[in-house]
Amino acid sequence: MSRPIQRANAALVFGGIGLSFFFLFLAARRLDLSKVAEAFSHVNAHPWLELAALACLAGYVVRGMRCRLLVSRQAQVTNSTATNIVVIGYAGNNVLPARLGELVRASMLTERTGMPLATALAITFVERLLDGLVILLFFLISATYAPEQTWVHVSIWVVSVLFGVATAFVALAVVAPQYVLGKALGISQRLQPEWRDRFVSFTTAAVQGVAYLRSLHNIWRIWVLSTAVWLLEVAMFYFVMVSFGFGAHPAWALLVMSVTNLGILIPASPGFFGTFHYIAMQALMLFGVEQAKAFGCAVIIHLTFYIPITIWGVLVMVWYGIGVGATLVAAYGGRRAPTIEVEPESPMKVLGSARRRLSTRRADVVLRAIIEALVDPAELGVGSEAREQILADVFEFSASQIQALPMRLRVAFRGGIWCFCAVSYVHARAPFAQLSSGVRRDIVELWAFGPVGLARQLFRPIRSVAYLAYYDHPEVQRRLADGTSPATARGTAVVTGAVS
Amino acid sequence: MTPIPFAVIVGSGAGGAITAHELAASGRDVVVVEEGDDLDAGAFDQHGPKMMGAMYRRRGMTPIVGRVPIGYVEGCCVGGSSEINSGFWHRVPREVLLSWKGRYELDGASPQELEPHYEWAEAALGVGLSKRPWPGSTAALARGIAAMGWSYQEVPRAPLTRPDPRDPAQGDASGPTAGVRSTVLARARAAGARLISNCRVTHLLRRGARVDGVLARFSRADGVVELVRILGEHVFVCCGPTETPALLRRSGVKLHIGDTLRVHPMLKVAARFPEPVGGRVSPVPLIQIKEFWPEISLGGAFFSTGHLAMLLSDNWLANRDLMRHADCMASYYVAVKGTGAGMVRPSRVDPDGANLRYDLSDIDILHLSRGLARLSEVLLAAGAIEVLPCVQGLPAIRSEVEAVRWLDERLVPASLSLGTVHAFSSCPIGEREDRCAANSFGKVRGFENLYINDASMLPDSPGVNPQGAVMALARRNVVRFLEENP
Repeated sequence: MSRPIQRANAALVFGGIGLSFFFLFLAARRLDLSKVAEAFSHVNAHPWLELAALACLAGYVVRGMRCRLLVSRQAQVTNSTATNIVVIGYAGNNVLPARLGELVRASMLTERTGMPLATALAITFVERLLDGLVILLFFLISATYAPEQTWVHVSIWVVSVLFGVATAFVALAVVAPQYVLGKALGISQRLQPEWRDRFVSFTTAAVQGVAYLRSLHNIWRIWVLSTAVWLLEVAMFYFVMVSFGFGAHPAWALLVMSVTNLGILIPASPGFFGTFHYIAMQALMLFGVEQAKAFGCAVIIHLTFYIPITIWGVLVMVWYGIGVGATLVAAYGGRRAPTIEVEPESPMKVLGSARRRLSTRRADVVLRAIIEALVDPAELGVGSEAREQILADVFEFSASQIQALPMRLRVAFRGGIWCFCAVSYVHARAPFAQLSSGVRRDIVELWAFGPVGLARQLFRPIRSVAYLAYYDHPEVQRRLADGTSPATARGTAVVTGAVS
Repeated sequence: MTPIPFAVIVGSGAGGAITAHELAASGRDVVVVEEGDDLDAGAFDQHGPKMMGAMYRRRGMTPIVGRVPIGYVEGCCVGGSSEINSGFWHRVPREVLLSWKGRYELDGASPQELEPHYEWAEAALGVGLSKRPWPGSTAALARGIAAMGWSYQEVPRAPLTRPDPRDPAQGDASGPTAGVRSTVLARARAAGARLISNCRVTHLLRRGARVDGVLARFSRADGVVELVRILGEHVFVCCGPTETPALLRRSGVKLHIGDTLRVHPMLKVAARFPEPVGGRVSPVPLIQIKEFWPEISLGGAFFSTGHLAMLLSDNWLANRDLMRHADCMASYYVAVKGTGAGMVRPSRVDPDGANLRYDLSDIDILHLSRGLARLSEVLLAAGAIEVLPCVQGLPAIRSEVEAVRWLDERLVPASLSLGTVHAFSSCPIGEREDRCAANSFGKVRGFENLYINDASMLPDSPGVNPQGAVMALARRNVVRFLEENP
């Protein structure tokens, strides 16, 4: 390791420890240790501390589920593996200074999944950002319960600005990855080719790390899980506070948890010693809790997550048979994208890779019902099996065509179909897909061919592709060529009816 | 260390293939990077749903937004749009070339200068006329034209099924198209050009006034997508009228790029005849009415039962019964020169997308209305029982009186269902620095080694199918490039 890096590491370690001592000093000054001992002696441990530990552990399991989803674009891991990786990260923070556990955890992701370290770091960053946003929300809610304090308002502003900026960056990478890559290319234009390749490779890998969030559905899932994580954390705080018997309200736990977790974003010594205790104590004292009890409560809350998670993390490291150093070395290898040739003499240099996302189109019952209302193979006199096959083929083609629309038109189409479903529900008092075929056909014809231009525009793409797929279907063409189709008879009746 | 190729060509369509051929034939190391797959168009039913899924950009779902949305299709496969179009072949009329010279100060590009390049491309593609007798839908149109006493032209094509390119009379020009994949590009590959398919170029690697190469996403067969860098001494961007400006702008090259998209707006009609016209057997009518050119062109459009249903779907409740008469129907089009203005911008949110906009002008509407009147007249004169335009709410035209109404009246823009397969001019070439993206030979302004050589370079609407213009100009440009870079 080079001398400047050694110096930087030493500065991190000693700076962190110095901060810890500083906050410990702040927490312990004017503290009556005998009162602290008395507070401990009155702790009603059973069942509250067991419940707190359970809530804490459950929180890590939910974090694992969230991590599994976030990495799912790059790698498939089980919930247990993802949870273990998460726990290793937190255990790393407990034993390493300056939140270096985050690096250990990203390295572990790289080592376990083979994804680039930049991607793993981006995923870790996204998790922290989500945590921060949920905690900030809790902070805002709980601040209404807290007595007026200037530092609370200042904290809200500072944290909001920090997370707002971070969220904007992540949102840009989620929404416009090519734009970010273009900017990276612009920035690296003057670099030597090797360094430019590295920069582009790193940027691409980082952008891939947020790829899971490119769907509103996925964002919703991640948000729900993040909320669950921090509600469990609130529960842990609450149970410990109840065990001290000072009549804590859940809103107190909400505020103390959010303030403390935002506070320990400050890099400090291993395990957040000092910073955690001081901030938690100050938050508790806002509600009139006396200093000794507040300090004691902070110590117990800290131990509730520190001991089990550190033990769990160490056990996992042993189970996986690797040390922290080995993980970091493995991650260092994954830091650079492989430079391989696709074929001998190929002019391509690979800067990074990702697995193509498999099409996971969800069953779109509404689209299928609309198509059934537009085309009906039964009128060709085909059997039920052939009918199903034709409809399946038409649906598959139509859904693929709609999916191929440019994003903004696709979003507009989905929004329009949502409105269509809502209006038809109000009209028929039942979900569109559950209506009888006759009613469905009437509604679709009213929208697709009726007097309202906007409705016709909405149905234009789907009717066009559905008719194309249907009438170019080999079975339909065969039936039409045979002239055995009674479809035209029904068509005549309809047309006559329309004219008359 | 792998040597850096002499040229990287982005796109393998009409412009890219001919660029690759000329460079490879001169002994240069050439790499052609193509976003789409390397497929044989002959393996598909032309324009069928499977072909749309495999060979069309965005599966054929690329609307141009604007005052009236226009459905636009282009190829996304080795060979580009030449693999999916009807293969009609036109040389750019002399007056159009003169107009380009006057308005854009396009150097050279006279009919005489382009002549050898046309001849080369026509020979390479096997362009020729159809054997007689014409298929039913073509014969019907010819009958109408004769009755009206108008001028027309049988359009040469590059058909896949021509048995002997040296004897056009023996070919069947009504079948599928021979694109550049099996002709020009095959020759380029035989001369040593390397083709990388399934590789979408996302950015150019700029370094000041030079472009070092390209950054691309290469999709491997095993489902892995790799970000790759391909270096080249020269970079030719030939990825079509919409993707070329999108790529250039995404890479920060913006001067006069993507600001002047032009299209030929096209309105289709279905005509029902009393007798079968064999549309399903011979899906492409082969003659065009030139009486009203250059503002208006009338001709035959691709036909299949599915396409007929799409044509009729604007007034489906009134027309669906006609599907049983599919054998007696054929489709035709009115195409106008296009005097509106359009633009191309890369989408910021859609990694593979470009935002296309074209605003139809009032003159375009006027020409479409008059074109509909003329087309209806000629089809009724040919014996059609009724003419069914793709205009929402417009009933079938059954008499000449109903047809000529549109000589005076204008169609309602919001009711039109328009399409186009011809887009161009998004990066015009010429010596006018105030309006041209590149010089007369495709060298992008402000860059030492960056060129465009596809339909985007046409200075303005050619008024005819642009493939011939693209191939002739592209070959001329590469010949000049080779003279300057011996």
